[in-house]
This record gives sequence, structure tokens and C-alpha cells, in this order.
Amino acid sequence: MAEIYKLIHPVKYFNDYISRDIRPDGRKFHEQRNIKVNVNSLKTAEASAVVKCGNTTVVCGVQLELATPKAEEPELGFLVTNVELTPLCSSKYRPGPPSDNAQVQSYMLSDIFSNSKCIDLKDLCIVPDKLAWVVYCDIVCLDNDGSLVDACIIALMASLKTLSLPTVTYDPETEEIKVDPDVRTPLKVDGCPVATSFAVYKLTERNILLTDPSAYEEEMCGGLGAHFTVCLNKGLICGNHKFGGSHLLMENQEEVLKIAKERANLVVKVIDSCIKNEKSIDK
Amino acid sequence: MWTTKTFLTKTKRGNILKIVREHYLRDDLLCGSAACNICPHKDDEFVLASNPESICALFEYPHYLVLDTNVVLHQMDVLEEDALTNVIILQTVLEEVKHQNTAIFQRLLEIIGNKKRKFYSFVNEHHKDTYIERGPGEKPNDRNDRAIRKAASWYASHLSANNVGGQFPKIVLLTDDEGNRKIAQEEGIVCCSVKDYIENVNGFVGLIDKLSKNVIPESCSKDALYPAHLTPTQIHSGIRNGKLFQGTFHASRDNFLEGTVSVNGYEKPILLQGHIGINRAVDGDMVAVEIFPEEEWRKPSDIVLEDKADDPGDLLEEEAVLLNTAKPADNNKDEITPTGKVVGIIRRKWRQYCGILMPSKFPGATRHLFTPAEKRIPRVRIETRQSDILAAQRILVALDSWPRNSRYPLGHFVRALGPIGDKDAENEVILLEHDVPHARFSEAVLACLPPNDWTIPEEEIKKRVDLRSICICSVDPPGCTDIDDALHARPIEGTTADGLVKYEVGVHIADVTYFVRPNTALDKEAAARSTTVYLVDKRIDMVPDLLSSNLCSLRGGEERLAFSCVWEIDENANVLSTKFHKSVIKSAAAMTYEEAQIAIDDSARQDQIASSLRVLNALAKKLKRKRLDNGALLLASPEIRFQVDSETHDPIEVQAKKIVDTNSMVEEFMLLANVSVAEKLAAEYPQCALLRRHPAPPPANFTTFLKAAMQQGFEIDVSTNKSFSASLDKAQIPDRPFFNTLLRIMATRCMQQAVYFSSGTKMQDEFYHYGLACPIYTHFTSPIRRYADVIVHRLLAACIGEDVTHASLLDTKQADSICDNLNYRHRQAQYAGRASVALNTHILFKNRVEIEAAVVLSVKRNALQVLIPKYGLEGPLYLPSDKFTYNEEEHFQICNGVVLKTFDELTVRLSLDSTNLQHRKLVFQLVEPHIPGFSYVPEQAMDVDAKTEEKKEEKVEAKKRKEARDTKVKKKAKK
Amino acid sequence: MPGPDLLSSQGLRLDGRRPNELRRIKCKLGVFTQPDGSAYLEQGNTKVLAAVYGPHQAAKSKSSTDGVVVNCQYSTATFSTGERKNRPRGDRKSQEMSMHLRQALTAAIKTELYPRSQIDIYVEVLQADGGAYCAGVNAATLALIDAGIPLRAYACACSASMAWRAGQPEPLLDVGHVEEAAGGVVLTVAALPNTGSIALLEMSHRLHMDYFDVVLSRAMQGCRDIEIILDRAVRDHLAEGWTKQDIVTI
Repeated sequence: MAEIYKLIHPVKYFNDYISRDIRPDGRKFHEQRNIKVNVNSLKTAEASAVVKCGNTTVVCGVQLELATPKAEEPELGFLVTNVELTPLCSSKYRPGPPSDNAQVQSYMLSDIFSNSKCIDLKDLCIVPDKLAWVVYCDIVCLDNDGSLVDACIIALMASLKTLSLPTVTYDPETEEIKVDPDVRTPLKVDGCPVATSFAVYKLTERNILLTDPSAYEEEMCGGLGAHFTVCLNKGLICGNHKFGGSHLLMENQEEVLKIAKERANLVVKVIDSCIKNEKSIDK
Repeated sequence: MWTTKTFLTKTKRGNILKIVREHYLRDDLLCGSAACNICPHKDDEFVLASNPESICALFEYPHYLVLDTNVVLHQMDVLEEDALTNVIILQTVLEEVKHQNTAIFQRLLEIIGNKKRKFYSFVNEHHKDTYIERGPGEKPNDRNDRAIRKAASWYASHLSANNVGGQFPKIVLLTDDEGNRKIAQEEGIVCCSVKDYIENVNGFVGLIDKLSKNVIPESCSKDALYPAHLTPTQIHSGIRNGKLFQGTFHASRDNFLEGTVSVNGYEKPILLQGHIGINRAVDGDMVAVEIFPEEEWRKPSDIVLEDKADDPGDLLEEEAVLLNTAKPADNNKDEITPTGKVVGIIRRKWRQYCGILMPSKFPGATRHLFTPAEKRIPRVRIETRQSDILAAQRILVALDSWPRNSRYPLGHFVRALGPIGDKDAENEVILLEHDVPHARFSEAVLACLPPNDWTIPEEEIKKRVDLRSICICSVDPPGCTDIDDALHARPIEGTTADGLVKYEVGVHIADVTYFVRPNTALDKEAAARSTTVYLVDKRIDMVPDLLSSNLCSLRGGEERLAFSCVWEIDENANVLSTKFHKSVIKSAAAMTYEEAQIAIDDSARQDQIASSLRVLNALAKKLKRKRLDNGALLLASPEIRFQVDSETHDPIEVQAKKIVDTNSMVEEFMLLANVSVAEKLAAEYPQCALLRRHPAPPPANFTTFLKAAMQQGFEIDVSTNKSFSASLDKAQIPDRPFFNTLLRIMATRCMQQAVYFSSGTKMQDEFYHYGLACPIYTHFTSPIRRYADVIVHRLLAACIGEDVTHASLLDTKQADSICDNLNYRHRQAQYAGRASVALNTHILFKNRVEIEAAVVLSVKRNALQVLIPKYGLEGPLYLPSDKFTYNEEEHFQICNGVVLKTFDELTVRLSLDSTNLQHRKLVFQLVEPHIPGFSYVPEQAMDVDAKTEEKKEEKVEAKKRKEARDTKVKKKAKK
Repeated sequence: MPGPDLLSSQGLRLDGRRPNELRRIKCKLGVFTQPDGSAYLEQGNTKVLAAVYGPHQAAKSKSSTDGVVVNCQYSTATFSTGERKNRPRGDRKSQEMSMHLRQALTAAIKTELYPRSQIDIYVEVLQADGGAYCAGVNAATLALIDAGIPLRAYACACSASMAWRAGQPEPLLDVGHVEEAAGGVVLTVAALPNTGSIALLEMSHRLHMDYFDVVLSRAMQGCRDIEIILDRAVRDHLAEGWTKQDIVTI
């Protein structure tokens, strides 16, 4: 019955739940979904992570290449992030070139990431003006059930935290590059940005914030994806995006930051314990 | 079916590419021991005996041996002895050996394959209990050592489990790595060095001689005689930054303290002099050299210097005395050669060397010197307790190492070849030194043969064209038992449009591929041998005797399988049509060239054989004419034949080969068949047809030759083969009939080698055969003695649908590698043949001296190369530089107004110099023109002449008597 | 003998398998919520995901009255191989694979049941170690079953190659990347083993006719073995009962 009701009166169905202070999947408004992190599950990538936030599943694979730094920034290496929303992950996406949404997500991610300054690109430079690492971080969404950016950032950070760079020696005379894959140095990661998404639902006069919305909730709140994403790194805001949906009131902002802060602490703990786990299995 | 296995991934990181490999561990791998009652062995899977008898006094209980990699790599000669049995070869070891030395790897596989030796290869890398992972920071070598120890201790516990109270074999780990041994002992593994083990082996005399004296050459810095070699990394960086050069070291034949290395960037080879300059490089090694500054460059010494006969101990002589190191005078700047020294060895190219032992002067000593037959190889120090026996033998020795503190390289005795001077031993030396595979055919090969009483099955006859009723005959040299070609010709009905008579001509080639099926042991052996090698008194068959001399040989009066190429030819020798088919033939007669010639010439004979021979002969002449008109070269090489005593197999007479018309008759049709087949194959298989090409010689090859011809007043045009051929024809001196032949002999030496190749590897215009002047050529007519022909037969059979193709036949890469081997083996076979001729010449001249007419082939700085036309022998006639002056420009030698130049006719005295047992040589001495103080003056010139005349007469008689039991070896004219 | 040594003298392959053994196969149905059917499959180090959307109304241009239109997309993640791929999809290889997927799966689906409809099948290769196409077909079959789409039979794919041991030909089952890279022939077969029919046959390099039969029959044997494994996975999945998602929505 519920299913049919949902189909016939989608708005009313959703409204009925919210007005009873509960979300259709049984969560409270500020309750987030379970997070599962698994690192190094892909053998072909230098580092990788699979992250599940509820049903949202993303995979991040990191690969390394060597390149010459840009002439204008000879001391910087490269870190390239890319988000792929394959048609596999949702019926909304069609095969073909990346959709606008995918590009927005991708751009937002790299924006948040560079703002957080958790990776110093100077660390990726081997010989200034001559040789630098290119770190490719490809994130593939396998199942999009809302709050995609949150999951992507977790996957990205979990991967980077496990990444170690092989030692490279560069002979300036012969320009010969020697890579010693046995001697590795872990990549320095300063802090760990964590994003928290919210959907804003306008229930009569009230603005309701739904933490970590699912795809269904995002849709019901009217939009392609979450409306509001806050990202914190070590207590500093490094990303604050609001688009679409209802307007936001000032009092919401404070609430949002509080929730985001709590969630950031939790996520960092999850990632760290996962990496620790993986290491102990390794040995 | 799929079995669940523990699963592990191994990661290998190369560059920044991450490579991931799966590695399955199994629980169904067997330990191979008959004492084991855990593994589910089937009856035929036991390799190791349940109660192996110990032969070593150190371990008196039954045990299996586990070998470390270094043992296999260095002690192969010990392992090949039948002494050690019940040995476990781990996969770890097998793979390390495979990577480091393929030759050793092959030998190891051979031993493992021999059931009697009880060598079991255990796949420890995939066994769930013996696989280990490389620890972080662990070197691959250490990891492998650990894997070997792990497997050894696993075996020990595996065998003891479930064998409560019973007798079970223990495990002994043999390793020469001290570190490994130490850890093994700590882990409770019984281990031992090879030396200790072998020295305590009972009952195998001589085993200890085979121990390799492998020491790490650079570690012996105490009392070092030689400077240390650079490490591989140093060499690598030195070469990279241009300070060092790499190249193959060629030792001088004449001076043991001199050698050269050809490197990139220098036109002349780099000269290396002295012990220090050569620094332990052995001929053939890939070395790194440092080149001295230009003011230290030297010229090659022109003295002959041999190492001292006795062992001076580990000292280096004062080299300044031995070497002509004086700075060369300024006038001959041309001769100054870039000079350098060896600073490191990149790769050793050591093989086993034949030679003789020079026993130590001290009785009872075990260290002796060995002199290799190859002059360019230094003497080797070996240890043996059998020096008394070995002193009179030809022996085979392997090089092991050359430490810094040893004057000579260290080696060990491998085996004895036979008494010095013994024909068999000397032949063995020739075969070994030329890398001719000559072992007896293995059981596996012989198992591929049909039974001795094999006859053609009825159904096979039905499949083929039956030519048994046609009068076919073969023409070969006398004594030939491997007859691979036969011919027929008969007029056919009708005439051509121009009214010419038509003939059907067939060439029938032994159908070897019927017996030699692809990928059988027989096929592989034949492919490895590639060719039958003809020594003067011995033939090393490519395929076993049953095939080569019987079932394949197209003997007279017997039904044989053949592959036929049949043409319709008009009387002007134009080919009208060609067809190929397999057939059954019955040769009417197997004739010699002379018999055939007699049949043709004897007009009384009107039988079928004679008339078809006449047709063939007439057509052949026309074919030849056409070929020559096309520009084919008639080349010559002095070929000699020995008459061999039927009992002692010693040569009793030597003479230049006689060529009659019928020789060229057979040759013409063989050429025609080869060309026809080549055209067919190239059209059908553009990628993998096996062809033969002969590249045009580069003009530079002709310089000396043209100059010499010019001196005789002939201008030879070498721009094309046609003009070359024509001008050779014109170059005749009426009163010197031999002159033209001589010219052709010399022209032959300007040529390049013809080679086999796969059509997929070359451009169409490179297929050209220069010598035969035909655009495409192959070998089809001698499958019994050449493997190339076997491949060609298979290809041809496949394209006419008479046989199936198989994958490897059509693979260009495969064909290319076959060609490489064919070319190598053919070259080696030729060299071996020549060495055999030299050997027999020496035997022939052992007790005789002759004075003969000779011609000068070329003029060298210190000698004339002379040819004795009568015997086809050639050699150097040395001219001392104090008497003769060499004119470099015009290539002649002058002494007291007597000028000696190319093509001059001389009289020389021939004798044998046996002072050096290994290098006996013919000595040529000048008799005429007479140069006082130099020419040999026969004491009673007339007398000697008379004597030789007498002798000759005697010999003619002897020859006649022996003709009946002549055992001459067939040697076909080189095409 | 031709070809590099893919078989040791003891008869084991480079990774320790015997010639007739598949790699380890692990698979799971119903791994995602968004699609109507999904499956994850590991074949050795090759890991693929498959998702099925549909059947749903077909786009007008594609619509067919004869049966359902099967739309496939095969893509490879950029990090699926050691060397980073620049284009995960849309390149020639992926398009070819997409087409092959469609051919093999159309043969298995009872297309006549859904006229004017469309089924979308997406296959994503997360890690490629040889035989990614085969793994894709196998995973897609499971995803179709998960989506409840009626099939004629399991569509299974398997590859086979050729090696020599002691001069004797010995076909290798389920070719891994190392064996593929060694340059030998790779014959890929997609079949409906139950009906004994072959849906797709693809071969790289050259193979002599004499050996085609043995290689093909080995690949078919592989398809049959895979069918058993897939069938077991489906039964296990069903035995687990309805997935959580179904409970919530009812």
C-alpha cells in the first residue's frame, strides 16, 4: 500500500513523514547513515578506497605518473581529481559525455579539496622545473543514493592517507629517472576535510534541514543533489556551497556547523581506524 | 575441475607501473618420494627412491639432496655424472637457473628427464606449505634462499610425519653459499658444501676432478696479480657517460698478450696489450674497455708470442721484455691503433674447450696446466689426480673462474676424448670446437623411426602418383649412400606452337617429411642438427642411418616414396608447365657421375637409361647457357678428395676433384627444381616461405682482386653479376689454362655467404640470388642432409594439399629463428669440413715431403698465400722481412730483384711441421724462383724429382687396387 | 616450440593453475539499490560490476515491436590497469566490448516478452587482469537474474588460449593478463551452455586450424564450469531471502 501511496501522492507521502518528525527511511532529521570504508581493495591502483554511506557507494583509485611541472609553478606537483557519475549508479544518468551535474560535482570536489590545503603540492615535486608527480584521483560512483560529495571526499581522503610515493632519483646530467618502488615515503596529509550535505525542505513556514539526505530525499526537496554542503578541515571551513532548494535562514547556519563538526570528527575516526585495521592485516 | 586454493597476490612494481599477479597455492602437488604415504601419488609418479643408498661418507644414512641455485649453476659437470641420485630440484632453483644461464638450464632439464637419475623437480613456489612471501626490504636473493630452506625443512618434516619408527630418508641441503649454510644450520637443516660432499663420495673415481673451482674472482685481493674489475654499476655508468666502451674481446692468434675489441665510435679495433691490459678477458667475452689518451697509443706488435710451456706459478712476467711496447716511429702513423685496457667483464662467453693436459713437473701434484686447441684461449689450471692417464689424451675442460691472484683461469676436467693423434679423438675435437651436435640419436628419436623392414603401405601408394613404371635414375658421386635425388626425361606427344619437340622431365626428391613428422623428437633433433656434416672419413647424419641410407635414399631397384617436380620442357629448354606431387618411384639405376658419363658417351647404348640421360644432358647444357646469359657466376673453389685406406681410414692420396659433364647435368636440374619450388612457395606463403638469398658483395670486397687482375692485364667489370661473369669469361691466358680457374677461385672469396631467410623478414627485392642470378631461390633437393629442405617440403606439400600445415610452420618469427639456426649450423659444418680436410692433409704429409707447382693467391705483409692446384691445398709461404720488401701500393714482395706477386707461378716444397702437437701445420718453402739464401735447395734436385715420380707410379697402382674398396665420402659440389 | 613458456615442465601455468582450471570466481547478486538488478563478480584479479535498469519504456527512436531493446555499455575505470587509462568509455575498445556484450546478452534474454521496451545493462570494470569481457558477461547475467528478467539460459563467457608442453598442444582455460600479454592466441566464447549454443566467438592473433577444435572445446568447458558457479551463487542469494530493500518498500 505504502508503495502505491508514494507513487500516487509523492509530495503528500513525504510531507506526512516529515510532519511527524521522521524521515521515510526511519532516520531522525539529523541522523546520518552508516559509513563503511574499505581501503586498498583495488590492486591495480597505487591507493584506493571503497566508501559506502548508506547505499551511496563510491570507489576512489589513485594512480601516479611523472611529468614536468608547469613553467609558471615550477615547484608544484599535480593532483587531479575527477568524479565519474556512470549511468550504472542511477537511472538519472544516461550514457554519453559527462552530464552537467557530474561536472558540477567534480568541480565542487576539487574546489573543496584545494581549499582545504590538506596536501601541499610542493610535496609532489621531485626536482623543481624538471620532475614532479601527477596524482590522479579518479572517483567512480557505483550507486548514487544521495550526499555524493560526502562519500567522494571520504573515499578520496582515505585513499590519499594510504598513498605512499616511491623514491625517485633524477640524474640531471643524463636526465635519467630511476624509480625505486621498494623505498616509499607516505604522502603528507594535513588534516582531513569532511563534507556534510544537507537537504532543505520547506514544510509550511518551517525550514527543515535533513542531514545526509538520500537520493529520494534530495529529489523531494527539489533539486539534483544536496542543497547545502559544508566542509570542514580541522575545524576550519573549507567549503560552503548552497544551491537550489529553499532559502536558508541565518539560524540554520549555526546548527549546520555544529552538526558538520560532529560528523567530521566521526568520519576522521572511521577512516583512521579503517587504515589501522588494514595495516594490521597486512602485517 | 576448479579447486579452491589459498589465494595470494604478488605485486611487482616496475617503473611506476604497478603490476599485479595472481599466484595460486595448491594442495595437490606431490613430493615425489616413494617413502611418502601422505601425497596421493600414482604408481608412475614416484621419482625418489624410498630407501636411497648413501654414497657419501659424511652422511651414512639414506637421504635426498636439495640443491641450492649456485650448486646447479656451477657444478653442472658433477651433476651430469651418474653419481648423485635422489636429488630434489626446487622450482625456485629451476627458475633462477633459467634466468641466469639457459645452457645450464637445458642440461638440468636433460638430467631431470632421465628417469635413472631420480631427479625430482618440486614446485615449491605453488605449494601451500612451502610458498613464502618476500618480506619488506628483503632482497630477492635472500628470499629465494629462504624459500629453498623452507622447502628443505618441509621435506624433512613431511617425510618423517606418518613414518613413525620406520626408516625414512633425511634431507641434506647442498649449498656453496656460506651465509645460507649458517642460517640453515641454525634452523636445524642438515647442510653441506658441494666440495665436502663430493670429496667424501665413495666409489666414483674422477668425480672430484669435475668440481668447479668457482671462487668470486674479485674477492681474492690478496697477492692480486691483476687489477680488480669494475662492478656492473660502475661499468654501466662509465659506458653511459662515455668514459668506457663495450665490445667483444678477440684475442690474437699469434700473440697471447695481445687482443682487440671493436667498439662503437672507433673505426679501428681497440688494441689491448699485456696481462694487465687484457686483464683476464678471454676470447669472445663481452668486456668494458677504457681507451688511453692518444699519446699512449701503440701499434700492434708483429711478433709471434706463445705462453711458456711450464707453469711459472702465479707471477706475471716482465712484460716490457715480451712486448714490443716501444713507441712506434713516426713514419708509420697509419699503424698506430687506439690502445686501451680492459676494466671490467660484462658477460663471459665461456664454453668447454678441447685441448691437452700438460702435467706438472712435480710427481704427485694435482694442479696441472691445460692447453686449449684454440690458440686464442689462454691456458687453464685444473686439478686432477688422473694426470698420468690424461696426459696422453685429448680432453675437454670447462672454465670456472679467474681470480685476481691466479695467473691462469681456473677450470675443471669434463671428460677425455681419446688418445692424442687418434683419428676418432681428433674428429671429436673438430666436432666439439665447431659446435656440431654429434651425440648418438636418443631413444626418443629412434622411437620415431619406422621398423627396419618397413615397406610402403598399399594405401600410401594409392594416395600418390605411381611413377614406378617410369625409367628414373640417380646420378651421384661414388660411394654415396644418401641418395636424395633422381631424374627422368622422356619425349611426349605433340609439339609446341613453334613446332619444337616436348619433353617431360622429372626431378624426384626423397620424401623425408613422410617419416620426419613435425614436432616429434626426430624432427626436433633434425632441426637442431640442421645439416649432415661431412668430415673426410666420417659423416654425422642429420637423420638416423635407417632413413638417410635406406628408407629415404632413392636406391636403385627399390620402391621409394618421393616428392616429384615434373616439367614439360621444349627442346630449347623452355619450361612450359610445372607440377608438384608426391609419388612412388622405383629407380632403375643408381649411377656415379662417371658411369652416367660413360653411358651418354657410349653410342652403342640405346637403352632407356642412356637415352633419357642424353636428353637430360642436352637440356642441361641449354639451361646452363641460359643461366650464364642471365649473369650467373661460374665460381670455383679448390676442392680436394682424399682416398682413404679402408682399414685404417687414413688418407693415402689427395687430389683435386674432377668435374665431368654429368655433375653439371644433375646440378642444372636441381637448380631448376629449387627455383620452381621457390617461386611456388613465395607466391603461396608471402610471410613464411623459407628461401635462400645471396646478397651482392659490396664493391670494397673486390679492391685487391681487381688490382691483382689488373697486373695480369685484365680489367674485370664487377658492376653487375652479368658483366662480372662476362669479363671473367674473357680473362683467359691461352698458355695458362689454370689462370681462369684461379681467377674464379679468387672471385669466390670476394663473395658474401648465401643465407636462408623467411620471406616475411625481407623485402621482395632482397630475395635476389647474386651467384645464380635468379630473383628467388630455395633449397628443395636434399632433404636427407639439410633441414631447410625438410621445411620447404612441408610448405610445398601443404600448398599443394598433400599434407596438413601446422602452426609453427606458418609463423614468421618461428621461421626466422629456424633460419638463424640453419645458417649457423651450415657455417659451422663448412668450417668443420675444412678442419677435417686440414687434419687429413696433415696425416697425409706426416711422412712425406713433396715439391710441387704452386700459384700465388694473394700477397701479405709477411707471406704469400699459395695454392697447390694439384692437391687444392693452400697455405702461407712466409717471407722474412729482412730479405723481402713489401710494396703496399702494388701488392708485391721484392727480394734481390725477384718480384713475387699475385698469380705468379712458383715451385714450392711441402712438408709437415709437427713440433706443436695441437697445431701441426703444412710448411711451404720456396724452391723456384730461386732466391739465394732463402729458397730451398734440394740437395740432389733431380734425384728427388725422380723419386717422387716413382712414388707416384706406385700410387697409381695402389689406387687401382683400392678402387674396389674405396670408402670415399660424398661431397657435393657447393652450389 | 612457438610461443613463450606458458606452461612449466611440471604442467603448471605461470600463476600456478593447471591448464584446465578457472581462476577463483567470487560473485554476489543485488549489491546496489538504485538499479533494478546488480551483481559484482571477481574472476581472479579481474573485478567487474554490472547493473541492469529496466525493462522500461524504450526511447522512440529505438523502440521495436519485436522485442525488448537491449542497451549495453561497457566501461573500464581509469584505475583498472597499472597504467592509467585516459578514456574510461567511448573509445573503440569499449564500444566494441559494448557491442559484444549486447550480442551475447540479447541471445540469453527472452526478448519477445517485452516489446517496445528497453533494458539497460551497464558493466564497469574496476580492475582488469585479463578476461574482463568474460567477467562482464558473467556479471551481467547475474544482474539480469537479480533484476528478474526472464532468460533462456545462463549466458557464460570464458576465454581459452594455447600453450605447448613437451611438444604437445595444451589449451589453457580462462586466460589471465600475463598469458594474454605473452602474445598467444586468445579465443573468447560466450555461450548458453545449457542449450549448447554459442552466442559469440572472438579470437585474437592467429591460430592454426588444427588446434581450433581443442581450444574451443576447452573454452566451452570453461563456460559450463562457470555456469555451475553462477547457478550456485543465484541459489545462495535466493536462499538468503529477500533483500533489505524489498522489506522496506513493501
